[in-house]
Amino acid sequence: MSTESDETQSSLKTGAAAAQAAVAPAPFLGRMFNAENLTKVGSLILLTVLAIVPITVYLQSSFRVHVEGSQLGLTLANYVQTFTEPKILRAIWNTLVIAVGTAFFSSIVGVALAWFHARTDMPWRGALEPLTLIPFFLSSFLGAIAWWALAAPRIGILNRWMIDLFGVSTPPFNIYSMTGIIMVMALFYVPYMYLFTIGSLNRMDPALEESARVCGTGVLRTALRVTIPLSTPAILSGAIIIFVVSAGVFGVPTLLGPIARIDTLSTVIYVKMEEYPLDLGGAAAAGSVLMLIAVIGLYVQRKIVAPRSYVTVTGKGFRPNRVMLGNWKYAALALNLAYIIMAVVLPLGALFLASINRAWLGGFRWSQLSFYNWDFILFSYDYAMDAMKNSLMLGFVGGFMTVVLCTFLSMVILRGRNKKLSSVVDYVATLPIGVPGLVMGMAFLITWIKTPLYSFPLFLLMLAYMTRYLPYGLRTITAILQSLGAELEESSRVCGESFIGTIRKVTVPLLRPGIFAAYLMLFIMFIRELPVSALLATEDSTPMAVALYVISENEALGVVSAFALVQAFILLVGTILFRRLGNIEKLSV
Amino acid sequence: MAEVVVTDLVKKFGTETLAVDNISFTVAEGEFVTLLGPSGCGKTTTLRCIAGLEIPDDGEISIGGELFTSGSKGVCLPPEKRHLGMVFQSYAIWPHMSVAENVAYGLQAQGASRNEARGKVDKALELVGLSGLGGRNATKLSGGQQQRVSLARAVAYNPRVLLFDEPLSNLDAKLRERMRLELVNLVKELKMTALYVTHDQAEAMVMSDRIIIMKDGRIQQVGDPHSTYNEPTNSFVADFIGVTNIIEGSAEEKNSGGLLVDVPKLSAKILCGAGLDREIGKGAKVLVTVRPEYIELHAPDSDGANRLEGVVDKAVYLGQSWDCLIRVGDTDLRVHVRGDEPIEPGKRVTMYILPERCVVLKD
Repeated sequence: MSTESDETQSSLKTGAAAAQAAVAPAPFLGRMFNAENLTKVGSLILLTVLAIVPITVYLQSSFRVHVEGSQLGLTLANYVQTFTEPKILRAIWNTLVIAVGTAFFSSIVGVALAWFHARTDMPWRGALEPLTLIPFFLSSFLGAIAWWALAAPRIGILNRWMIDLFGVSTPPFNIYSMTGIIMVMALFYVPYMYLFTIGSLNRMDPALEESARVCGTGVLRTALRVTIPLSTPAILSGAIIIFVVSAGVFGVPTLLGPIARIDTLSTVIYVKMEEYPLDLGGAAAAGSVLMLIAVIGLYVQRKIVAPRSYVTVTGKGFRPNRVMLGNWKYAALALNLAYIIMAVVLPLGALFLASINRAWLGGFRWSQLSFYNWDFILFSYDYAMDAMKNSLMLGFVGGFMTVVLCTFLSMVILRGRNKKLSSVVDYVATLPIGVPGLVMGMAFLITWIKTPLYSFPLFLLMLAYMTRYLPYGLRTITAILQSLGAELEESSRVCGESFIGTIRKVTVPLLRPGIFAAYLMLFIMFIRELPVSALLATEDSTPMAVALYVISENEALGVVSAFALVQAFILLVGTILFRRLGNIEKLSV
Repeated sequence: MAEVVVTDLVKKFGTETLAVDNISFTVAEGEFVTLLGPSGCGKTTTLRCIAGLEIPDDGEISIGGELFTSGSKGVCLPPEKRHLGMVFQSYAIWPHMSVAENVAYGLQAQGASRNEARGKVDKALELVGLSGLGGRNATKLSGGQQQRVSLARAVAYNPRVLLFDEPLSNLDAKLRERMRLELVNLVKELKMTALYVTHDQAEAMVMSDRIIIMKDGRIQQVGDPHSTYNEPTNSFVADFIGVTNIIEGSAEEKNSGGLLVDVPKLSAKILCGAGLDREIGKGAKVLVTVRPEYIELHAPDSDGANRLEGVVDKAVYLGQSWDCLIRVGDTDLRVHVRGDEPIEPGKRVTMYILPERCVVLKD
């Protein structure tokens, strides 16, 4: 070739010789202390400080009895108390009933809706899908407030309607009940189940169903005997995750439970921590039980259910044929509409009506029409406005920092040549998924309360969010990174670009949609975050969800509704904004 | 200068699986060498070890006298310090860059200025026949064109050695055949050293100066296409490259014409003239391989060894030849007969094999 390429070659040679010289004197060190291993060890140290230290301090405190000013030695007293006190045993039972009920009902509705949308000719599918998914972007706590306005025995709109229109003598609905709690939570988790299953239903090879039809089974039997069983591992995985998450939910039972004296583990922990006398050890032990429920659930999901998934996706490109439902398609439509009415229209409508009435007596009155509540929340209630600022800060900045960390960690885990170290990083980064939010908040509180970090409460809260929700962001980004194929990066390395340069020039640009999807998800989670914040937030760092909780205890329903709608508005606008910016077309859980 | 030397290379996956089991070979400057073998034979792992994408467990790799990897000395240069070019099976074209940006990438990574890079990108695109497509979105191109972009990217910065990981296996048959020759011509024109990985024996035959045949992480045979085809050392190589008959027999006497092997299944004695570079005792069990096209249907008149009588069992017309199964004794022999004269099943035929076409295998 020409002289200029000879020049390149000679310069390459000297560069390579220099590199060799740098490696040669310390061969063993050269192998162990390269940039990749240092990065991996560095991430491990970071994760240890973020996750392992607080969890260890927390567990340790559950084995101590705290007497004013001093600590006794290790003891099982807290656990003995937890498993002997009838109130706590009842709370454990209630927690399990709520979690099982929520998982069961949201699975049934979610799977049915996913099947209607993915595989049948139900009308108006395109228009109904975004409406069906709206609860995914709101929060269960918001749903609880709305259903409180709808179905509280005396002031609930639905109860008033029934009494006024049909002359029923006693209020027919009572949201302050186990049924009420489970219904509110199940409504909220339906979209999760929908998203868990729609992907596999969409991609399932239609030949699997068609061959059942050719063999002589009808539409419904094919769905029940072939389609749904093939999705069973995916459905079970989703149901277990909903079970675990709903066992840790704090907002709904704390709002709807007290009147019917329904305690759950999370409300017990909260009361032990926030009310006099403080029972740190007891709260920690109850939290450990909650953590154990989560760990067992996730273990079953990961080790037993997930590995049994069927491979039903073939490489061929195809357009799935839809199942013709006949007249049943109107029944499907009715179910979907009923869901949207109960989960979206009624709650948001009730909140809206309540927010524009000066005084709320269980029904909208033109005579009471007023924008006082909105004016108050948006322009004169400092507490609410500070909370909004804090939450926006946590959502945008905290979400951004978490997404940066997740991107970085997913590359540390999936790329590079030291696979052993990668799997350790992966393991530690996934640990927080087994730690319920309330427990994580408590762990951060007792670990850092006596350190200077506690003087920056908003920052501490952000670190806790980051740690708690790390596994979710990480999973979104690793899924995309895995699908990218390592060759795109390997060819960059072979071309002469370094590990870091490759990340900057190849990996990150390709990951962009995934990064935005993760940012969106974390933004939503951070804006509505309640369990981590409930114990950890201070007066200066109160986020919106905590403020909403406090306001719901102290203010009239109109003010509460206006504030809840502000939160809903931020969540929905944020969602649209992120999806525009990141060109996100499909949602994933 | 760019000689590749691989010595005692070992790569394990997990604790059990030996992907590469202690192999050694060299690629001379300017040589085109192919690693050939079925999937899972360790050929791609070997290539990736050379590129620095896998860390070998033991052994040494050096190129042009520079040590890249050494188990005992604890050296392992990262891929970007090796100055190699690599073409991947999936093309690995970056979808967020144009064709020209893809090709310029390696040049810029190695410190070329913008202007310098532009000139070399144009030259590389011209070499692969994609002049003028630099501004296109690379992933919108056809498979063949993407493969050319990937090739241009690998040669643009004049790497010391070009590595190919099954680069043609995603292309359709016709295009694949054309690309084989183009690719070899380009590599030879640039006087580059190339190491090529494929599972396609025809590809290896067409392209390589030398072929290294691998199985289960070990090298089975090294040689040029002619010798690997005509003098396979074991039944795996004989069977993997081309089509062949492998027959069992026992050695009788050795004379100047070769080794006489008694084959009971053919009820005949075969005089073998190749694969005799080792001591074979009388009565030893041996395997003999004969390619179907070396079995001739018109035997010379003289009586004697390597003359077989048989009945046509099946015959399939392939265009340039007949692919026949001919029943001899207790077994069927695969025979390729040139020409288009019809061959009917049931026909009695006499066959003859030149002794030097009968190869005694080493297993």
